[in-house]
Amino acid sequence: MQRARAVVALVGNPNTGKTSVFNMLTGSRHRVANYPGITVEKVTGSVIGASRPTELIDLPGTYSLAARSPDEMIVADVLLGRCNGQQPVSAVVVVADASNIDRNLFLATQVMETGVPTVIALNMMDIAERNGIRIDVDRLAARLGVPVVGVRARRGQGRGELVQAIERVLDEPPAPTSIDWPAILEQELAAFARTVTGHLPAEQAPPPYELRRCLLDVGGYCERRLSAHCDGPCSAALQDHRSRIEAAGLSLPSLEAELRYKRIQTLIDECVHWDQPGRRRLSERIDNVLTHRVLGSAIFVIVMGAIFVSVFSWAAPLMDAVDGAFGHLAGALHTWLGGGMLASFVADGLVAGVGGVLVFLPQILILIALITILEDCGYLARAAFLMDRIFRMCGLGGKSFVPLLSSFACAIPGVMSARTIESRRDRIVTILIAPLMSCSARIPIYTILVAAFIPPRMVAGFLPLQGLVFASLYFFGILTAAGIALVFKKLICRGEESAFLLELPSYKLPSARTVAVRVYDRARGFVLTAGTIILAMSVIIWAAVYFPRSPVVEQQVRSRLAQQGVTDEDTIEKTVAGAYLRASYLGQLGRAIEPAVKPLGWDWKIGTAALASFPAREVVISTLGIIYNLGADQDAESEILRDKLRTATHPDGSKAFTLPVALSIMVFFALCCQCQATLAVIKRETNSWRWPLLTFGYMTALAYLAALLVYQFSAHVAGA
Amino acid sequence: MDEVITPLVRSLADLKVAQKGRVRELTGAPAVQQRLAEMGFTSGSEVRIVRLAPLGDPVQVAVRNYQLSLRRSEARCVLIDDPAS
Repeated sequence: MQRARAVVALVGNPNTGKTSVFNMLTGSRHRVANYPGITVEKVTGSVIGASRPTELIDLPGTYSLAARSPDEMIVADVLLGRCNGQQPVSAVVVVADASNIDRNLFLATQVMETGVPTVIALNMMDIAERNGIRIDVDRLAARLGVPVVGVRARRGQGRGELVQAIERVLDEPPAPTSIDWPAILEQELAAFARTVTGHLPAEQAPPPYELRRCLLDVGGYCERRLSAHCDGPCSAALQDHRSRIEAAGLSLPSLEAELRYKRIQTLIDECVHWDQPGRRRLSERIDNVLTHRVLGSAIFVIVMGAIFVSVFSWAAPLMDAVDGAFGHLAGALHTWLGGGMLASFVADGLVAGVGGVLVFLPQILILIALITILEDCGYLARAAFLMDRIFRMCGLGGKSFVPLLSSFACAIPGVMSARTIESRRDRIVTILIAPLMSCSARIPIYTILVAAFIPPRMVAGFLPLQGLVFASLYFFGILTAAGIALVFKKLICRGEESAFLLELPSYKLPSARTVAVRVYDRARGFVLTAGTIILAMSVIIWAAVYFPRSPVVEQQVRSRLAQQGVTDEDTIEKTVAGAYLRASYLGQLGRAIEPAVKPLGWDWKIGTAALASFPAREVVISTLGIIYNLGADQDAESEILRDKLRTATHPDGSKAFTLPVALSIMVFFALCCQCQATLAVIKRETNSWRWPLLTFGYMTALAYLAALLVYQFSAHVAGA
Repeated sequence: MDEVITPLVRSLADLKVAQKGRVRELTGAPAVQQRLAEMGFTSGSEVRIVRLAPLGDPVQVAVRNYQLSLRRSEARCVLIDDPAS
C-alpha cells in the first residue's frame, strides 16, 4: 500500500555531523534551491529505505530557535509550517553530538516543544565513548518521551534504526512535552496572546509558539516581525508584559536557558556516566599546539599561505588551459563559420561567455575543497579565533579572514567562501568589500601602466619606485576596504547584532564524502546560476561592441588606407576593427560619456575601453589594443601597446597618456567593480539583486572619486 | 604581605589562564545575555579559561564539557563567584 508523502526536517547544532546524517539517510542525492528573501540554501533529498515516500529537508545548523535574523528564523518557520511554498513538516530529526550532549539537548528540547514529532539522532557515539562518556540511550529516550537513536553517520551505522524511529513517530506521534514555565510567564503570555488576536486578523496572528518567542527574545526576530504588522498596541503590550515578568524577579534573557539547562542536568545525571571526569581530551592537546601563541601563529601563517598559493598559483595552469582551449575554439569557429555576424556571435559572444564562466572553476574547486577540509576538521574556527582581534578593528570578525585573503587571487571564490561566516551582517559586509582586494585580474593593468609611465628609478637608494607604486595600489585597496567595512557595518542589517560566540569543536578527520559533495554543489551552483548571468551579460556586451556594424565604416577605412598606399592585409584588418569599435554602440556611448571622464584626465578612447571592460577588468588592455589599431591580441607584456600608449596623442597634439592619467586609470581599476562574474556570484550568494547593485554602485562611485582626486592633484597641484 | 582581597563580583574576563569559576549571573545587552545563556553560561555552571588568543583577545573558555571562544567584551558580561584555582 502506497502511503502519503511525509516531509521530515533535519535540525542540529553546527559541528554535529548533520550533513553526514543527511548523506547517510539520502545516499547523498539531493536538490538545492533557495528560500525566498534570505541567503540560506534549501537542501532536500529523499530518505532511502522508508516505507513511504519521505522528503528530508536539511535546515541550517543552529544553537537555538531564538532567531535574531531572517536567516536564523528559517528553522522555526519550516518547523511551524510558516514558510511560504513549503509543505508543513510531519516529523523532525534532531542531530545531537553525543560527545557534547548537554548543550545539544538545549536545541533538542526546544524543538520537541514546537509540537512536531521528534526523533533524536545521537551522532559521534564513538568519540563520546573515546572521551569516556557513556550514555544510556534507552533511558534517555524514556525520560525525554521521544525515540533516541545512537548513530555513527560517517560509517553509516544506525541508519536502519533511525529510519524505523522516523516511521514510528510518523505513525504514532509522541505526546508533546514542555518544561515547567513559571506561572507569571504563562499568565503574561496568555494576556499578550489576547492583545495580539484582538489587533490582528486571524491569518496574520503568529502561532502560540512564536508569541512565546516574542516575549522571551528581547529585540529578537519574532518581535520585529510582529511589530511590522502591529506596531503600536502590540509593542506597547509586549513591553508591559515583559516589565511585569522582570518585576517578579525573573531575568528574561536567561530565563529559558536557566530552566532548560536545569531540566537537562537532571536528565544527564540519570542517563550519562563519565569515566575519569576532567581528563584532558586529545582535542585539547592538539589545541595546545595549534592555538599556541607562537607556534600556532606560525602554523596559521603556513596554512593560510598554502591556501593563497594554491588559489593563486596552482589554479593558474588550469585556468590558462581553459582560457587557451576556449580561445582556440573561438578561433576555429570563426574560421569555420566564415566571419560575419553569426561567427562573431558564436565565437566572441557565446563561446567567450562560456569560457568566461568555466575559467573560474579551477580556483573555485580548489578553494572550496581546502576550506571544507579545514572547516570539517575544526581548524577554521581556530583560524577565526587567532585573527578575530585584528578584524574587529574594522568591525568584522575572524571568519572574514579566509574570504578576504582568497579575494587577492580572485573575488569569485572569495565571495563564495564567505558562507562560512554565521553572522548575516558580517557575511554581507565581507562580500561587499571582498572585490576591493586587488585580484590577479588587476595585475596586467597595473603592470602595463607602471612599466609605461613610472620611471624605473630607486627611491631612497634601494626601493624601486615601480614596485612601490605597485604595492601601494594593493594597500590602497585594503585601507579603503577597512574604511568601507566600518561604514557598512553601521548601515546594514541593523538590530541583528548578537554575541560573537564561536564554538571550538573537537578536532576530527575530515570526511571525503562531505568534501566531495560540498565541492560538487558549489561548483554546480556557480555554473548554473552565476554562469547564466555571466553568459547573458557577455552576449549583451558583445552586441554593444558589434553593432551597428555599418559596412560603410569598412569601405571608408579601406579606401583611405588604399590612398595612403597601405596594402598589408593585417594592418588593414586591425584598422578596420578599430574603426568598427569606435563606431559601435559602445564606442558611441564612450564618446557620449567623455564629458564625465574628462575630469579624470581620460579621453573617450579610455572611457570606451573602461566601459568595454565591464565583463572583466583585464579586457581593458585588449580593448585599448583594438582602439589603437593594434588588434585585440595584447597583454601586459606587450611592448608595442606600451609604446603606443606612451606616444598616443589627443587631436590637438598633446599627449593622451601622461603620468597623472596613468595614475588615474590605475586607481580607478584598483577600486572599480568591472567584473561581471563577481556581481553574478554576489547575486547568487546573497539571493538578491540589491547587494550586487550596491557593490557596483559604491565601487564605481569610489573609483571615480579617487581617480578624480588623484588626477586633479597630480596634474595641477603637484604639477607632474 | 597578604594578597589584595578579591572583590565580590568578578567577571570571566578577570580570570587568568587555567583558573576556574562558577557563573553567578549575566549582565549586559539582552541579546548577548541570551546567547551566552543558551550556550551554557547559566548560574552555577563551571567555567575555565583555557587560553588567550595571541593578541590577548578573544579568550578560549571551557564550559559544559565543550570549548568556545568569546571576546573580552562578552566575557565581561559573565559575572562569576570567587574563583577557585
